[in-house]
Amino acid sequence: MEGVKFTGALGADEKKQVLPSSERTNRGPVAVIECVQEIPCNPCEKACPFGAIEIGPDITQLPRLDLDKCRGCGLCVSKCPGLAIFLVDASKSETEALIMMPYEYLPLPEIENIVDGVDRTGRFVVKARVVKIDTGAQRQGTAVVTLAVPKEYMHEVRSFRITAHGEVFLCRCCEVSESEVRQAVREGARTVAAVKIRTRAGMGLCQGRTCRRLIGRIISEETGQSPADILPPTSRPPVRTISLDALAGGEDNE
Amino acid sequence: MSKGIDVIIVGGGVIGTAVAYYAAKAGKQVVLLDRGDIAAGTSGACDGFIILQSKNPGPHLELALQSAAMYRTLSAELDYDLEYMPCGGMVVAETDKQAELLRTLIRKQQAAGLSVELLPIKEAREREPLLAEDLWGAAYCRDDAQVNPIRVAQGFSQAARRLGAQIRSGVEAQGLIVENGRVCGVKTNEGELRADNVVNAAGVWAPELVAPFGIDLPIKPRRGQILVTEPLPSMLQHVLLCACYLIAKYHPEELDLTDRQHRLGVGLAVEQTAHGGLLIGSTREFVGFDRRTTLAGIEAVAQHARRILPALANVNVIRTFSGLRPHTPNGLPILGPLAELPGLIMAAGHEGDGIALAPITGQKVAEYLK
Repeated sequence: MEGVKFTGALGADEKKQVLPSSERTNRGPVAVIECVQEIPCNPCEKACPFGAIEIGPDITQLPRLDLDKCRGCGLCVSKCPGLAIFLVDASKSETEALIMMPYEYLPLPEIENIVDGVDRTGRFVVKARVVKIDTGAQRQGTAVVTLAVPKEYMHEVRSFRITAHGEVFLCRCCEVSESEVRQAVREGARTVAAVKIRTRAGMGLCQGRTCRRLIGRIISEETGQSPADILPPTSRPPVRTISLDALAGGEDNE
Repeated sequence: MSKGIDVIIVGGGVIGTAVAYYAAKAGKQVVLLDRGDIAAGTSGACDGFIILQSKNPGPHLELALQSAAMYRTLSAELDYDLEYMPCGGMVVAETDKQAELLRTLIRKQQAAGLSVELLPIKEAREREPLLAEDLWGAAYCRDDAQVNPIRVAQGFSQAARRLGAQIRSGVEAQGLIVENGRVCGVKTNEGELRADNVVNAAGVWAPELVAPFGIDLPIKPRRGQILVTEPLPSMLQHVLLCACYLIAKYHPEELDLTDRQHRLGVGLAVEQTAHGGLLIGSTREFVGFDRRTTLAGIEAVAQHARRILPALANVNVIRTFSGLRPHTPNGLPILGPLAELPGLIMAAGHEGDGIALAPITGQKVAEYLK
């Protein structure tokens, strides 16, 4: 099973739907809107000063990008709450392509750093060079980083890891590292819940929304089980955090 | 040639792992079985109270006092941080009637040597400023404490393993092997295991193991629903219970069943964990083995918490969970050999006292092993 719905990353058909042609990327920078789920969301439409992105009055429609109107300014990249918009440009060199992406982690890299370019699921693809870092006020707190990668990986690299940093936090809420999770699996954890009870991964503010898939993948890597056979953790209300007051409702008694 | 197994322990919660540790420490060959995982049942779905003033004077309080003393040095002994905090505890009274109930209990507890006193609300708020001003007051005991129950089970199991115990999660005890009227082992999904003794530390699931022998253990699952908040700066200085908890526990006849709070057995139990989040409980409901949380339960717990600690209105809840407490009719655990099944030793039925009583239970049960 592939596709956003099952793995959180685009499948082959979905890529076909959103990736621009090489004719277009050779002409100059262009937005790639990797948005394939019909959710009520439309900040990208307003973000584009050239009217190249259209959603329309029904805000669950997928965005439609007019490839000729898009000038590759990249303003939309930091406006997508789902971090699903990128900019690619194959026109600047024979061998390298530029990829502009939102990056909401700290620390930020430095220009000319060599980092690990990773794909949509976080797997290593190729070493990449940091070309530009934009943290200007119009980015509203989302840093936008441009990487240079060999052209053949232009449509694969979508994020990066700073290699010198060492330990990767897999559960960011509780700061549980990848190596702690691997250790838990080596000690016998076979479900996401078993990893949680040993390491606290998934007990934090986001309740595992970010890390549960990554933990499932590590169990799968360590044990050879298919990711589909690894039990997900129990979901419990509330779906979003809610104040105690709201939960308690208006009156003390029925 | 390897030595035979002395004891098989069924159940990897705080009780089973405590028995495993103290038995291994006494030099026994120990095998612990859990069909799920260490602390995956009740011990992973409860609060961490080590509260003395909820115990009735007599053997219950005596065991609790001994257990509380063991906890003070247990992190060091197990070489594992149990997140033990000697924070003291309060039992809040909302009304004159509740205060009277506490006063009667406290008098007996003081006579039994427990340091506990009843504070009017002004004095109680000096110690715990977030308590509502319109409460009657609170009973305060400086020797109450808290701990992380998951870490207690893990700490015991890892220390037991270092002492040579086999901790086998994912192995289910499917039945007892009985020969000549004596228990001499356990049938598991990975084959038969033989031992001189079997300890039934399966908590709410303990009756399953002995039911085929016509024994009806009076342990019933009682669901407690708990809310978890976002991590917060230090808000609470103590573990907090309310008198409703004690009424639901010892005087269910006093409950007003036309009131939803009472029907759900809601009694406040709040602690701030080492990680900053608050655990806010709890309901006390007989609903079989249903571990879901319910809107009615969550709402009732939230309402009660807001009444006693109004400042909690603005904190954010990030999760709810529920656990099944092993309830017994007299509120006491079932400990020791079972006359009908020689070779079987019981260590179950602690309801809400499992965390507080785990170390002493482990030690006492290990003493029964021949």
